[in-house]
Amino acid sequence: MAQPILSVASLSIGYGSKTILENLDFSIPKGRFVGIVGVNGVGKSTLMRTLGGFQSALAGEIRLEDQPLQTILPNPLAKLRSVVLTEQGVTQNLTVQELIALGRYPYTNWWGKLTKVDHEQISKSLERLELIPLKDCKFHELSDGQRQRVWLARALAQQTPVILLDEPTTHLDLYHKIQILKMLQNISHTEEKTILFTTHEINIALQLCDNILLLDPTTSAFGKPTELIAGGHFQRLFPKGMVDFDEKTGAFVIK
Amino acid sequence: MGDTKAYRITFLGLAIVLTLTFFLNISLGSVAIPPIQTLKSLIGQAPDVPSWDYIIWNYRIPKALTAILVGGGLSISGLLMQTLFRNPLAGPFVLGISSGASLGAALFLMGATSANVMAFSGFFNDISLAAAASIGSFAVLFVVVLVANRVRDTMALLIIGLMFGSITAAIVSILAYFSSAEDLQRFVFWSFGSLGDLSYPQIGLLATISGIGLLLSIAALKALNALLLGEQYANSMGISMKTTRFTIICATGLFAGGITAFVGPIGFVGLAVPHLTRQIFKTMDHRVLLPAVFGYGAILMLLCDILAQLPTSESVLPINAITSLVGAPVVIWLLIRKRKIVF
Repeated sequence: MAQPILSVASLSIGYGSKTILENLDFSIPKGRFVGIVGVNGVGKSTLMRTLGGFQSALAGEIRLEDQPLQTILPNPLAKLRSVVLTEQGVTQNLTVQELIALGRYPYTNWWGKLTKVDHEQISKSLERLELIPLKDCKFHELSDGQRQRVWLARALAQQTPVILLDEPTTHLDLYHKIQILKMLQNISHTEEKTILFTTHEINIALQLCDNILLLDPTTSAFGKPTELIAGGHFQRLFPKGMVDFDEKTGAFVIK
Repeated sequence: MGDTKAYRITFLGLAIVLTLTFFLNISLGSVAIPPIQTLKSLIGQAPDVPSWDYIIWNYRIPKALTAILVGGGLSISGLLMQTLFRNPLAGPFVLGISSGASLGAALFLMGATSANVMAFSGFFNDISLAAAASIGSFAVLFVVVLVANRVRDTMALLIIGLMFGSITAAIVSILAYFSSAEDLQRFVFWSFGSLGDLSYPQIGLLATISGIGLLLSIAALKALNALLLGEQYANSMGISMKTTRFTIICATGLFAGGITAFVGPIGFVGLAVPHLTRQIFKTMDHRVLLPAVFGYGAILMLLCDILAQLPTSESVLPINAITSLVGAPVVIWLLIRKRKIVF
């Protein structure tokens, strides 16, 4: 396996004295598209926040580009990982282009002046996510799917080898869910970016992801979709009786 | 963010309006001085009546300069608070700074009597009133900064600021309840606000304090823009929220604290001007908004001062009432016309 860009060893996450998940071990090479699945409340968002460096791990180690995460200073860290959050405390009055330009923050000077390189990266991100016709629209004029694309473009403009996305497909219909995830998969593979995202769309994730991280309070698992299916991990995901995992089709069925 | 050059013409317009308002402000007053004579005095020639020169240079110009500093400074601190708290209702005083100044002034004007310090009546003058008010506002600011370093949640800080405001306001009420009618009146007069009481050295001091506040705000410009995406995103882009919050709070404290100390608690301007500015400068870029709200605030304050003077009449209305009386309907009208707030 190639040199991992993100590796986690005996990681415990949670808040203060409350441990949510423990003994997480996985390492992800460059350019992988990884879905994180698990039932509600299992700690997907907490893991994202911990991996992003927003909250500290309770135990264990996270290494990003072979450096311990907690030793990386804020500005260098901002050049290693970008995030797309579920939080929407954002001003609605920015244009698409302005919002994406903010992704260049770690690279600009104190005044925030955009150089030629910055402008190129912004146009590239706009193009990559098919946002050029919308670039002068205000954020509040956009649909949910378009907004999600804008956030992705902003993260892309931040030019980081790792992108973390917390539930990028919530509020989207099936078509737009697939559209966003296909775009992400494509970016991950063509631009050698490691993309981790949490999702409830296990069926879609199984078809698109290179790796799946399945979070479970007792037995979390990381591997290729086929490996996890063969290992019977999805059978244990939900309580028995209501839904069942069909190993042949790789989908959940209602009983 | 967008191109700052796109607003050059708007800024030129703003500068022209500011100059005109400044001139209008010093030409009008209880003594009628023809504009030509005002101009003469300004460019160093003696006007027809020698006392006009005195009135213009020793009364009207200091007052107009104070108005510019006060209007501009309060507006900038309003902008800073609105962005920091991501709340369109935030203003320069949400952290309890003006309540702190009131407490200082109240303790000085009303508390001093009960403690029989009135023997030092020579001590009792406007400068020490300003000092008392600034001690009050900076004491509150100091506590807020201490608390800000302990709480990680900015929203909690907003509520804590409001609570401090309530506590100080309550102490002021108690002091007011037990003080004599005369002292109470003095306090009420202080709370009306007054732009005309500052000497040149005092203006110099206020300008220095505001200048430091301005430098801190400029240092925070880039972070302010990133804060438009919320704290988490700002964090993810490499901003230390702790440093940024500290810088923004100190800048606001210097502006609002210094201004309140010298001219009394002047409401409304700091809250409204950023909104009024965003109607003309249709951007959220703080590099454009910062100078724009300063200019806008200065103009609004000069205009309010003209109205407060009631040109050609002897009486002067309290400036604090005028700012709200004039400003509030303007904001209401703008919001009704636009139907929604641009924030």
